Amino acid sequence: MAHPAETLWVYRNQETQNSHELPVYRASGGYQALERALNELAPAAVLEQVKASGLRGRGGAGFPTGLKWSFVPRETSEPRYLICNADESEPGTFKDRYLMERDPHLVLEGIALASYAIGAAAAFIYVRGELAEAARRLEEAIHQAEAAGYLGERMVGTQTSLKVTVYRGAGAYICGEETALLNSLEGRRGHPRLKPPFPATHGLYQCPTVVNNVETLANVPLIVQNGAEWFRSVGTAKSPGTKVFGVSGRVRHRGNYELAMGTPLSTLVYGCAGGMEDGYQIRAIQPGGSSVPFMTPDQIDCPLDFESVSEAGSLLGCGSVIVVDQTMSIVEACLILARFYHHESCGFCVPCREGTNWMLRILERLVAGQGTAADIDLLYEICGSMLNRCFCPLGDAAAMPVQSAIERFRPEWEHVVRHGVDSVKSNVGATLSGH
Amino acid sequence: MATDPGLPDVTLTIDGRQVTVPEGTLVINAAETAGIYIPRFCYHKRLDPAGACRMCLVEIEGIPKPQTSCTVPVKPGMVVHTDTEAVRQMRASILEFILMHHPLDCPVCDKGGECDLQDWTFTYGTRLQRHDFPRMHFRKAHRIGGHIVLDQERCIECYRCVRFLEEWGEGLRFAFHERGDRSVIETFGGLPMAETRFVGNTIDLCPVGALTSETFRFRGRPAELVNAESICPHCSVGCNIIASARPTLGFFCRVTPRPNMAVNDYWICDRGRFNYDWLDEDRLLAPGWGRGADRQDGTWDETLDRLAADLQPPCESGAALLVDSSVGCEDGFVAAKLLRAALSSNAIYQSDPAAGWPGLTGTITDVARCDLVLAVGLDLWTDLPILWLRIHRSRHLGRSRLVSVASADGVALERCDIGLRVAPGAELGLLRGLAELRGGSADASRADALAAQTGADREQLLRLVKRLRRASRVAALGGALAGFEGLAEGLAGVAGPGGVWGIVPTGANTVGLDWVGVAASRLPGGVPLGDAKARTALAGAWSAPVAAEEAPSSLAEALETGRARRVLVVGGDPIGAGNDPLAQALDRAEVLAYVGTNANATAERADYVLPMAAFSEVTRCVVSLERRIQHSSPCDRPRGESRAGWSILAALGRRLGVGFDYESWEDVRREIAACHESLGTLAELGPRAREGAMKP
Ligand SMILES: Cc1cc2nc3c(=O)[nH]c(=O)nc-3n(C[C@H](O)[C@H](O)[C@H](O)COP(=O)(O)O)c2cc1C
Ligand code: SF4
Ligand code: SF4
Ligand code: SF4
Ligand code: FES
Repeated sequence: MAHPAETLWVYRNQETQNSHELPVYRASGGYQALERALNELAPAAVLEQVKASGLRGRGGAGFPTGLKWSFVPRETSEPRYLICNADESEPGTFKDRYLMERDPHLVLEGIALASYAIGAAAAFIYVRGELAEAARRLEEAIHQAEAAGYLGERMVGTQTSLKVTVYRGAGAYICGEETALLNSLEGRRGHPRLKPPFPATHGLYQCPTVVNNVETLANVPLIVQNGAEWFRSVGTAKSPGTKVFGVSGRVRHRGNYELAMGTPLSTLVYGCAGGMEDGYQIRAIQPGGSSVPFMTPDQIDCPLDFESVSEAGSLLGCGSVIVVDQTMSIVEACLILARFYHHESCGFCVPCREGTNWMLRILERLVAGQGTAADIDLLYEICGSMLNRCFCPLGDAAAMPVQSAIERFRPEWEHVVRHGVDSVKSNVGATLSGH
Repeated sequence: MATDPGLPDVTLTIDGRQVTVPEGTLVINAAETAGIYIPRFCYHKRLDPAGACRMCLVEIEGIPKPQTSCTVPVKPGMVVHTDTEAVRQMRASILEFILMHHPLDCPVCDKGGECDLQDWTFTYGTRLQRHDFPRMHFRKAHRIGGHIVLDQERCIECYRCVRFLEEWGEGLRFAFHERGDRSVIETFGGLPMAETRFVGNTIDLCPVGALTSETFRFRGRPAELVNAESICPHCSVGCNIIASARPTLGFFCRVTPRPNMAVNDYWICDRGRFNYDWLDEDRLLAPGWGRGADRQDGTWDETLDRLAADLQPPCESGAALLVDSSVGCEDGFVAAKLLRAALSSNAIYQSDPAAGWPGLTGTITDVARCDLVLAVGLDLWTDLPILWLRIHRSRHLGRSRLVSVASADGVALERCDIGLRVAPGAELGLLRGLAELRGGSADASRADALAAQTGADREQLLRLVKRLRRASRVAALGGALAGFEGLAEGLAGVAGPGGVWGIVPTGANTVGLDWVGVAASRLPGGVPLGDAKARTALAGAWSAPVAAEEAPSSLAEALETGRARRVLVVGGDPIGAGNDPLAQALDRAEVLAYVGTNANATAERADYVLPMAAFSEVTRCVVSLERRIQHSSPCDRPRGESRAGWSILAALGRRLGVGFDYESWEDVRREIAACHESLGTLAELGPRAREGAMKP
């Protein structure tokens, strides 16, 4: 059941029976936006509407979607491509998966509208390899939509055509980064490309390409259907609309919640997710997936929008809230992250390739009780040598959480060095003591 | 990245110095213009920027994050700092990262002394190693084929090698496998590469000792080498090289490219790089006479006296000369003069059959700038690799297309955009038909008729015609496999007035030898033998008679008709070269004198063996397929008793006639210049003429 704090827009069909079937989707008003746009609106009008709505990318960077589309050259003989980024590999993130599994037609309608706006006749959905069910649902939905004339040749009886292809990744986090995704899609080694040129002008096969997140695209039919003003009526001025937040950790009701942008973190954690499980307290929070700096429990009232979270020293990212509790040391939390980034670094650039390796070794040593105070300083320095100096944001993502953990939890790190990790962990029910 | 000279200028400030560079210049290159060399590993001027190593980070005012100077183009008013404390810290930290798992086996690493990692570590590194975990290990000293030895541990993952392979035409012969800190360079399936063409360039590109040369390994440190600016002797492209040897130890060390944007860019082919074992192995070391078991060594004087007696005119059996097309101008000139002035014969020939036919009307760069290159009976990939590379680079940049036409099976029709197989002897008909179709109306039936007439694939031919009609500048290059009669006219017809065309020789000095008179029917300067006035002038310059009698058109004919029975061979190995009729004809020679570098089939058969110094041991000049006159200096001492070709031939000349009193290569060049006004450029040529003058 939806929580009263929620604003169910892209998640409106999540609880509907068989919502992945075309008739069910149509019954909820589905494909009306596409039908109207293709028959009544010029592509530029769709683009203008999305621009006016202020929709920002839900894949992590929050880039204005309409603006991104407008970079695609209008007059070009080259093919243009739309890519739906469904790689969803960020630890703690599981919002796109439910959109694809439970409302695949919403995603497809968004893809169709975006493709129409930028003049693409081919679209690809790059689905994280592990999400087999999502890929299957999407493929079924494409068949249904093509049979019903919503996709394929001469959509809804117009001259517009769109071929949508599902492509499954092979299990690399970096392939969610848009240019690494393009390389992967082309059959190349999955590492990011130099930018500029940006995909909007030189993307897939060097042709103009837009890459958008699943949730971003799912918002598009709603905007086209209800208008930019309607969209702006929710959320903040700079971060309009809703956002799907996924909460994980020792909260009572882990899961996804669609909230107006700007809703306080406390509403999400204590309201929607029902607060912490019995005996658990919050030690730290990552508000935007595993890649962002930690926040401390006293920041729990921070509004969840791009600007406010940045001001609080972290990032909204893809809106995946990871709650670390007192049974885990912040050093252990960092070790888990370091393992992930070490495993996922593509290895293309020096600071990330070598830095993730070194960070991992030092964190292993600290957790094993063999670290020194100098290790903390060194680790902190390594983070500084990676931050802003890597080829792509993955390197920053590896460094930022650890750097913030040392800045904000320094006494705990020193305690771990002197007395071991267990000394800073308290059992369920007990309150944290000792430092 | 290359910038267009037509672009407007941009002025910016780097470390307080104002510098003005063309728009589009990368900050790293703008800094170099200002005299500031920013450290780098992955960036290389002739490769697309990668931004992988992060060594070149600088601070740019107004941009909060440090920027890689190898990826950022200049902007007007930009203020760049490369010498701040922050930048120094960035460089030190990158070096610390790279060195974490580096094996540090500099003492046994071939790159030692010319390793960028060593150099930058000494300049910007901290001496302290804070990484105290075990190093990662990968495979070392692994032979991956193509004369390359790979040390995976030393690789710093700058991607220069793989970018070269992708951007310059060889294709990914090896690549990175795995990801993250497990990333490693490997050939496909770990199997050795076969038949590489340009892979050797990755050795020079590699900033560390990950890719080293199998043939140079452990043969010397850079400081121990004697280096010389030289020209590759292996084909007519005339790639500029640095030849290196250790004369005190008596061995040749290596060949590396010497950048010349007009010729070889920054590259050479693997043949030019690795084919030098002959400089040290099986050399002819002492003069001698006698065939087979009768062979005996002698002094130079004794040998030359005997040979002179054998050659002494008048003699019923005439003399002939065969000069290998790789021999330098000085040697060829003195040899031809010997025939004309001392042995009264014009039976003077080159090994390259393309000698004397109309050569290329433009430069290599002109060819690379054409939007369509048509190669007829010419295997560019195999025979003229760097010419292929230059054309391919234009293809890679989307500016050109390469079409290969051949009837012979031996010619590869791969590695081009259209490969057209025609019936034997149909090349000329095809060229004529194409010339008509290019100019005339687009008539499909005419194309059909041409396809039927030449046996060419109809679809391919139609594609070619379409390309040809669209092309604004066409290069038409012909080779021996198409037969030479009428070929030049055919090529000219297709290339049209604005195009480049010609028969492309393959010898390193085919053009130069012909120019200095190594030709039966042409005197130095290309003057026809029949020109009596010119003969008189030449006789004046030489103070010696100049033979007037016309010689047969080929050496085989001269030998078979019995007009020549005494043959002087300079360079090459005509008997071992696989041309059986010529080898048999040579075998019938009464006297065969061989001036050459190596013990081979010709030396074996010869009655006289006169050991000649190799290209790396003498000063010489050669003229490339684009008529570029290039000077080549020695890095090594002549082996054994061998001497420069011209000096051997002059010593013989002095025994047979007058006017062979040269003390040095400079004397020879002076005399060449005196033979004809066009040859003046050759005499002025010195080691400093880097770009090389063009033959008029
Ligand atoms: C390491 C890395 C991983 C990423 N993974 C994803 C992902 O799984 N899904 C996604 O939508 N965007 C991901 N992104 C962001 C994309 O690069 C890109 O910004 C996004 O797809 C753009 O879509 P949007 O504008 O709709 O947000 C990732 C970025 C980085 C640097
Ligand atoms: S930052 Fe990491 S993931 Fe990104 S390019 Fe560099 S090595 Fe690859
Ligand atoms: S082998 Fe050499 S050139 Fe190739 S990536 Fe490694 S360090 Fe660079
Ligand atoms: S292309 Fe010719 S001249 Fe150049 S290196 Fe190769 S063989 Fe030598
Ligand atoms: S030289 Fe610029 S990143 Fe390597």
